[in-house]
Amino acid sequence: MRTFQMMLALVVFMPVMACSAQTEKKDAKTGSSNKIEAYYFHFTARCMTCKTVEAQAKQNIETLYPELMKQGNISFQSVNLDEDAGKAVGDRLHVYGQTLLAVKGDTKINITNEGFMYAVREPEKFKAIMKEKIDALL
Amino acid sequence: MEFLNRLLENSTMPWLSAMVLGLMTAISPCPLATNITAVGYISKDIENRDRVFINGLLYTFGRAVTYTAIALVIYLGVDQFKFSGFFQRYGEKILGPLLIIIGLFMLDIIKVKFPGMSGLTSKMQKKTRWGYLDVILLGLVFALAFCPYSGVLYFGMLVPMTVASASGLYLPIVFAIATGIPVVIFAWILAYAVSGIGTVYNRVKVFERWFRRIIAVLFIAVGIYYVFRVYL
Repeated sequence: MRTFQMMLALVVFMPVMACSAQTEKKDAKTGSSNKIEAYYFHFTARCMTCKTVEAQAKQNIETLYPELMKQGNISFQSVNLDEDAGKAVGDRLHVYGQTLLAVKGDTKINITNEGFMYAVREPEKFKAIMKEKIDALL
Repeated sequence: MEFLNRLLENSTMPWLSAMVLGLMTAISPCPLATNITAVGYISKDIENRDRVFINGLLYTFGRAVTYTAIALVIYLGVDQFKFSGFFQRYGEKILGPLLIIIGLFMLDIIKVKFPGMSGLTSKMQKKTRWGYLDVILLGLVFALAFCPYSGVLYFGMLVPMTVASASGLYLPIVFAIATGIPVVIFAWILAYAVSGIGTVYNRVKVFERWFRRIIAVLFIAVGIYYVFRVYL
């Protein structure tokens, strides 16, 4: 039980030590560009809902903006935060956990909650929300 | 789930939203393995139904402590995104090995003698305060094991509601109660059913000893499942 307690103490306090004070959360400089980049950030271990959110988001962008896709003005990228390359992208955009994000220049729109609420059971609603949010970036 | 989604959409009361989010977390397939393990552990004192019920409440209390502490730390100014990222990254990774170690302790395969303490198992089997503390600790630890889905529900939806104002700091407690309810109910039903059968055959003590071994094996099995899921 002592071991259990020590482990618990480690688990509880490590993040407190690891996390520094508040840093800027949003609107970080991401480079000024007219291109819209959609990202789905995840870790290696993934759940069914998570995979569905990614698949739906990708499909929605492809079907909603086929012309922009062809022109290269909108893109979708799946990023694994457990890989060094993915972590670098996450650090640049200040993303450290599972997130669905649309980025244009300095503007970032987080669509994670809507994805997890609707992608599985109401994909059409999720599509409409994505359209509304991304249209605002155009 | 559909019903809960609707309820969440239309809810204007924060406590109701917190409760719905907690229930959604509890019944999603994602944390199912930890819930099954928790049901087993809470029911370990299967001869005593009241005790199983108290265990369930204390397990829920442990979860509430974790959820409130995390929300409080974020409220006090720690970067929410980095903080949640840490739990999403390491929660499941730590959980697998930890479950295996706890299971091995329960089976008495690992024996560590601390100065001034007798064996862990005998401590746990005695009806001392330890018996209550371990259930609280289990709640604390299991609440830390955010799987991707529950991570989004907690960090993406509950925490923003909670940290919006100091008066929202009760919401993680409501959330914790909702995540604990199904576990408590299942544990109690299990205890009720088993002790009923046991009393008929007058073998509850023997059954309890075996039941604890089964729980230990369950811990190891679920631990292995998490290790496979996360590392392999």
